[in-house]
Amino acid sequence: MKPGVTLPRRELLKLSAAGVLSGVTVPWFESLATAASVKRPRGKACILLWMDGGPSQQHTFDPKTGGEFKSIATSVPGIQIVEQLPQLSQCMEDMAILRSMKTEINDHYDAKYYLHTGFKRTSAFEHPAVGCLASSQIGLPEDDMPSFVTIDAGYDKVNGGRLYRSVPAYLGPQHAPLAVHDPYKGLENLQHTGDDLDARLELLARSEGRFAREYPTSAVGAKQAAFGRAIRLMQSPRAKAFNLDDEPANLRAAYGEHKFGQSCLLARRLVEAGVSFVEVFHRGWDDHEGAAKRISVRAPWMDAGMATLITDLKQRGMLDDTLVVWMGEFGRSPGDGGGHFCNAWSTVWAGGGIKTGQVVGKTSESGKNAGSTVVDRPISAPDYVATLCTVLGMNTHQEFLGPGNRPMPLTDPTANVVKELLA
Amino acid sequence: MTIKRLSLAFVPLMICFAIWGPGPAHADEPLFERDVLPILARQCLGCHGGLRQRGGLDLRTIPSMLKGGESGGAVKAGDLDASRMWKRIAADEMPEGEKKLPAAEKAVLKGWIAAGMPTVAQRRKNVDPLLSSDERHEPQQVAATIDRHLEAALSEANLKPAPLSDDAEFLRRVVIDLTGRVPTASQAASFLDNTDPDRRAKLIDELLASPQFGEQFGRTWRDWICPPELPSDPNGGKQPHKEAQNFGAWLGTRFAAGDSWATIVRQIIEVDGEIKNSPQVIFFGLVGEGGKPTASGSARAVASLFLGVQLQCAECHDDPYRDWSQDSHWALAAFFRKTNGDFNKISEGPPSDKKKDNVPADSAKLGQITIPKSAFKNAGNAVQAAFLGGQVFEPQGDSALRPPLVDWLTAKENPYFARAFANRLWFYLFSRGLVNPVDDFRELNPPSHPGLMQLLANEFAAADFDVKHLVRCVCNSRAYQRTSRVTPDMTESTTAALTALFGRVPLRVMTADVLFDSLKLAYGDSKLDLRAIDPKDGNTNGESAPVADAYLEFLRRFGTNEEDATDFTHGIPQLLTMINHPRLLNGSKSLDEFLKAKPAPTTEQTIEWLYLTTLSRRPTSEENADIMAYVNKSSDLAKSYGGLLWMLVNSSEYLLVR
Amino acid sequence: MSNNHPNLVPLSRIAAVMALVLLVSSLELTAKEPSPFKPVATAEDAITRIDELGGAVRRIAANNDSLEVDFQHSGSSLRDSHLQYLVPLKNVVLLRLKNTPITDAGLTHVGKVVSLRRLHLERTAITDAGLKQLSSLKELEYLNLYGTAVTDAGLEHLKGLSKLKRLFLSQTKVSEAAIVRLQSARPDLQIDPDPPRDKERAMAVWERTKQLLAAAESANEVAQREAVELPPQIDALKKDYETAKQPAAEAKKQADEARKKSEDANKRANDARKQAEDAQRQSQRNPNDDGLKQQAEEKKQASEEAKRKADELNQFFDEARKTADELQTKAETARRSSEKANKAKELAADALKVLEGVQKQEADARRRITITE
Repeated sequence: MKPGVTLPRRELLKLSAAGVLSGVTVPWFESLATAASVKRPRGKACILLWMDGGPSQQHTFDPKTGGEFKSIATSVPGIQIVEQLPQLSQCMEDMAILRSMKTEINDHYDAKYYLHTGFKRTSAFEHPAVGCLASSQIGLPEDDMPSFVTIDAGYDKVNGGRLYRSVPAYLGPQHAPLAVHDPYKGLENLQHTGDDLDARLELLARSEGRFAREYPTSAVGAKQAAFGRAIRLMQSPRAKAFNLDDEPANLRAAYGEHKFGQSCLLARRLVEAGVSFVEVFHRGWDDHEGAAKRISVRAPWMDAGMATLITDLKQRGMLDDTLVVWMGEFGRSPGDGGGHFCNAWSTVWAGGGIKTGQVVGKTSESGKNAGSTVVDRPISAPDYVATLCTVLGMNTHQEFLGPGNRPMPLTDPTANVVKELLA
Repeated sequence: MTIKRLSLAFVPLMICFAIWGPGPAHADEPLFERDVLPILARQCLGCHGGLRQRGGLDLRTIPSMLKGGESGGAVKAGDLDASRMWKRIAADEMPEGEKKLPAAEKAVLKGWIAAGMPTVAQRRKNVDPLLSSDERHEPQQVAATIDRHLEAALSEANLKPAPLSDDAEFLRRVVIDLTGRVPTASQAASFLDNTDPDRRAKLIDELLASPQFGEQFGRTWRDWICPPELPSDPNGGKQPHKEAQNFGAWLGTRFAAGDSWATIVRQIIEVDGEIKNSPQVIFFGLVGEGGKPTASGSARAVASLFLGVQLQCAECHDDPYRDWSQDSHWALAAFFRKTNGDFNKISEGPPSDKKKDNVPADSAKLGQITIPKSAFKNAGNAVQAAFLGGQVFEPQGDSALRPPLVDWLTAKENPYFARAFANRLWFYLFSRGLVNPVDDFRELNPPSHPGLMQLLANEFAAADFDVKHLVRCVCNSRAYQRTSRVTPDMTESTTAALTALFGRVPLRVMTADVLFDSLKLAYGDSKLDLRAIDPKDGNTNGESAPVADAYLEFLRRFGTNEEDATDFTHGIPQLLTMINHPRLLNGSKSLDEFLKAKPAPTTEQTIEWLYLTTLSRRPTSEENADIMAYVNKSSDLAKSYGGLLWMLVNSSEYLLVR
Repeated sequence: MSNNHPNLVPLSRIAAVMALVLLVSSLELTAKEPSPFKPVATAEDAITRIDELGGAVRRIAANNDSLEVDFQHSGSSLRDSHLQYLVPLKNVVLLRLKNTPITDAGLTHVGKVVSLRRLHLERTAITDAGLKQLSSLKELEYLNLYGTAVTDAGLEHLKGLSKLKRLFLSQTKVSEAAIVRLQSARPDLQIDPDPPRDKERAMAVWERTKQLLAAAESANEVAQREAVELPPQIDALKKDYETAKQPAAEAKKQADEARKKSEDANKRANDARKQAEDAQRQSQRNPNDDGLKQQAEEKKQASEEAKRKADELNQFFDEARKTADELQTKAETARRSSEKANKAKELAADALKVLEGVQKQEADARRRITITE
């Protein structure tokens, strides 16, 4: 496919923000066609379960004989995972384990950047994260609900240390994620706590009308459109998705009364309400003192949350249209899982219409350091992100106008999609 | 590249479709090197160029075009009928074959011939700054000359400049631009009631003398120097926010004190010491790799910030679109060979031999630098230090390399230094430089107003790079003081064209810093905290600890598009904060103070005070009527005041700068 | 509103619209009654009406003309009669009606969209009767009835859908027995839920968690016991380690020395042997030379002496090494015990956490068994 020519971001932003695009026929963009016409295909939704810190593969999805965790059979003959994840073991026919992740970077921040964008970090400019790409390519524009939501992404650290945050970079700020910090509390600032909002809005509307008559510019249009979107979200029945209260108690219990479990439930609700990409965080997987002890404690709730999510999506008939991804920024050392290990690690995908019930790639089985190398089908970070984008329905050859007017590809053009996953 | 060509070819179309926003100097006529040659290269030079000249015709240069081929001269300046080339192209006889020139390209050629075949090179030579170049002038005189330049260009383009702003518009704009926050209510009232005919000039003087001027310019330059993705410790991700803020404050004190820009830049580039004593050390850490300075990164930053030229392409190969060869980049980088250190300390010592930087100790001699393997071409070549523009530099013995660079950089005759700053200042005040992008001065990207650019550069240099002087000159011009209103007689195309030629001031979005300081004033709370969670509630350990800094979180949330201040980029998270954050809903401490005054203020007076505190003007009678209706419907006066304040800070007029 | 380019919307008009939108937004949008169905002539008009109702018409894929019509976010404004807008559209293969107020009456219109391959009716107000209308959808491959009031009787109406491959019946009133019956009648039809399989899975999970629980319980028991028994011994164990460290180090040093000696001796023995062999060869070459014969004899003896010495030292080294290894192991063991004692309380707390987690896992698994029964 030929690379798509896109309008300079600046201009596109101003237009869409000003709501000018509807009613304007633009010759060379089908996606900017008038509202009442056939829209582009709806991509798949994605729920990304981000295990921050680097989850140990040998203590989760790639156990080794004689390793610290025993392995058990799953519902797919021939595939084994650790015994601490029994519910997930029964979901195997809907999952695919990618055991041959080989991603070069062992530093937290740079690895998070690499796995989120498919590009290596440079201090010259920023690349958009995959959630922002989804928002821009398959999100529903002008929809009441945001296209990209993060759950419990955390804040910057007290000492000035910075957690990686998904940024839209040159895609434009409207593709920045909306952050829910606590699934029990819902979306920050969504509720108006005063009781005279209508009167205030009416007063504001009159003032805005006067101002817009004297200053009919794109900045004013954009501001008023964004304001309108915020109000619509506040008043939209779909925004109830942010509130877990009306889920039945037994379902909440099945997901697990734990922030991770409830975040998974919230993610399902958001996807049902039309959000295209939800990234659920759990931090604390950086087990430098050895993974066994700590993953033993984590496994019950991770098992409950993720397996219930997959089963819940399946029962509702949503699983084929929703890709669930479990991953971190790298794996951990073979053996005790004490150090960062990017040479051979695992991620897990489920649903999304991919070929499930399989393992892709293999790590070494024998020898003193079993699992320390990939022996079959290595998957690089660019390959990984390109595959993710392809499964979700994006055109990976799409180009954007980057900094300095340089065309930036959606993914690294040398990346190879993992075809084994495509149906 | 394709995208750039497309946009050039569509320049005339973009005038019509002005809703797309101002295009590149579109009210200019087509210029040979920039607009015509690319078309010829694509469509004509295959048969009439280097490889072959059909009919003896060579279209690569103007002389050869004029000379023509077997049929005689191909073009005649200003005379379309006598220009055979044009007639054949217009009739689609040329080029031969199926592919003909599209209408847009024909328009460019036509316009160019009709305009007399102007060239970029001519443009640059025929500049008359209208004032003598070697002395400092009175600000009012410079301001008037600025206007002469602009008004001449406007009348050439057949555009009428917008009228001057009224006092309220001007007041809020200049106070925000020069001190980084809205005026206080009393400041606003006293200016609006002032009848002194010189009140605007006096206000400008007053603002320039305040320490907030330094603060605002300090943090503006801080944002230009410190990129959003600050290099961090790759493992922990700790970022030097505090150091960047200290640097901004350091710059601020110097701006406030009226230090010469040359002195300030010297202090940055020649820094030697630890960051805790010299905050400007961060400059080198930021432009290098992983916090360590690199010669290449330093050269690139110095070029972009202080010379106004982009060198990044020339790092690896000759820049095809700009005038810089790969050698010119590395020649500049050679001056930084001895600059070593990291985030905490910079010193000038023996050249480092880290693998990202070049030169092992025994290779190229001092005063030279070896192009590293990471460059596309010419890796391994040694390049002699030279100033931009070619003059070679030979170091004496083991002397420091940075001071001679700064000497050259800040010399009055340096053609880059003064104009780079002047262009950035213009960009800051008008959201658009005379050269765009703001650090991209080159042959094929001339200033929209070459004479004006020269005037500003001359004035700045002659005044010993006195920042306040230059600001004073520009702010006193009519151009800066024009209204941003769209008057009823303006169409969309004229609005865009007028703004691009500085006949109208655009509406701009308040930056995060300005917004935060202004909200603090509006709510009378210097510790305003708009974070969602109370830090005392959250876990203060490890990775889920909330940001310790309300200011930092606000910057993260309300950051704006640095490249284009007219671009409103806020979305749902920002607006939900403004609409629903409990702290902004119900009244302010300063309002409470105001209401305690004796005698107690009336409702009208309070409403007026609220308007003055936020919008820096008094409400109109229509507005008063609306508000009184709103107030009377409610039984709780205090709540109504809170509601009015909420409405004011959520209004477009508040968030935007007229 | 002066000279407008024909394709551009005047900015001042946008502004007015925006202000109006703001005003209207502040009122209750959802209180509006949806506009009633009005027949349309063309597909374009149908799409416009669908859009106005909050629906969306999409292409299924980039290079495919088939259409998807999506009403799932249209809220409460969709009425049964509006489904007639589907009629003028060509090639509608996917219809999403999840969460809409559609009833059996609406299914009459849906039944006319014979190109449908996939139909979503989750949480609509349809009943068994409505499913009768779907028997005309001969191409239907996927039907989602999650959260509807369908009962066993309704399944009868699906018998004619020979191409049906996927069927979703969770949260309906359909009985497990009916599902099992349908599954055996239609082995190629994938039905969710799958009660027998779900039971199997739940059992498997429970069996596994029971094992995990047993293991966690015994591990916890040990850990708790050690947390009580070991800490008092911390000092003693530490002293043991200290005591063991010194001789281990000594023995290692000695073993190293012995090795060196043994290596030297081996080398000497080797040299001596070579010399003896040389001398022997020389002597053999000159059998009449008595001097050489004597030399060979001497060298031979020297070589034997050296070998004996080397053997002695080798044996000495072996023993020294064995001793060193033993003492090292003792020291290691002492160290581990000491560490374990130091960490005993911490390890006990961890073991308890693991146990609590696994207890919950087992309890949840057990609960799920009773649910699916």
